[in-house]
Amino acid sequence: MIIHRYQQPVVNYIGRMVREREMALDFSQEIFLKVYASLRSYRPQYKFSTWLFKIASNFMIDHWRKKKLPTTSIDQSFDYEDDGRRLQVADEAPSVGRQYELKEIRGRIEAGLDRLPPAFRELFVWRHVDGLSYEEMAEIKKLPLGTVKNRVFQAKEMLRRLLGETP
Amino acid sequence: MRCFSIEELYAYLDGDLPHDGVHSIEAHALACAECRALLEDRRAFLEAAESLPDIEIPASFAATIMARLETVPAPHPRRLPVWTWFATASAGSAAFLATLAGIALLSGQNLWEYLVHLQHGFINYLQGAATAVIHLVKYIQIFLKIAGQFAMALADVFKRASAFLTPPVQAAFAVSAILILAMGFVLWRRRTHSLENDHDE
Repeated sequence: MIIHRYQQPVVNYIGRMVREREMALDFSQEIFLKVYASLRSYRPQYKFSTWLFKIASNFMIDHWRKKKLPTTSIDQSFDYEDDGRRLQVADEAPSVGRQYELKEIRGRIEAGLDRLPPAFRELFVWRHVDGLSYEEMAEIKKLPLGTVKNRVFQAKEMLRRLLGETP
Repeated sequence: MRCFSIEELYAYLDGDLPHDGVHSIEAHALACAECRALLEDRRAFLEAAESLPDIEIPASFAATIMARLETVPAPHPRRLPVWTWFATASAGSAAFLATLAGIALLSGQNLWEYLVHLQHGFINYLQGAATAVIHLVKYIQIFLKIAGQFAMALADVFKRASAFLTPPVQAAFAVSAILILAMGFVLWRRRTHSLENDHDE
């Protein structure tokens, strides 16, 4: 059954995007209803999960637009952080593994996700929580494979830096 | 050997490097304490990210969606674009005309006369088909009317009977009624058949 098979990855994704469990469950239900309503537009040459996550991603974009929340375009360059520092070159943050226990790292990642721009959070969660392939993510977002890989890399480094800052 | 970039270290941890790249990073990490530390740091980070707990889903989640689906209208069938219909109709017509021309040429007939002859035949065919459809619709209407009246009468009998009969007795009554009707039909058919045989003799 489609719902049983995909409910956990969808709820994990939506939950990490809205950061509220009840809202994530409501949104996920709406997404499955949309999937049902659009079943005839599904083309079997694409993976079903790709199509489903595309619907889920569009749902989140609509949600942010309606709420008029500040969203970040995926096409925008993120080579620089807010203070203008180059993101990836220097690595002065203390070692995550040595500094914190696994449980604490998880907690800090969850807190850090809040501060990650949605477009980056989405890719990070797809890749490292839901285990989507880069190819699948590129297909969902209609972006070149290299761009997706680069965005995920930047998301990881942004988040890793945030680990040391989150309480 | 050069130190690797963070991006390359992530690609290694992601399993996104070719065999040579994997070997180079592993060999370098053994010799370079700084790269080894970076690698272990990112490995710990990714392990934590990939083991984040699932968001708990209530057992009724799927059932709630299924219940809501029943109130949602069924998805509309996908409509083909107009040009698809036009192209199909054009191709069909062209193929039809080409076939006719081919038949006329092979049979040595005049194409125009052949078309006129076909048109008459086609009109006759349409008239016959229309008459048959009208008859069929009439028969279906009569059948539905009789079947509806019969079902209403049967339902009325059951309704009256249910006032004073227990469910098992009602079931037995219904089965008996069906059996009696079936037997009556079989006997009627046998009698009709034997009468037809007598008449033939």
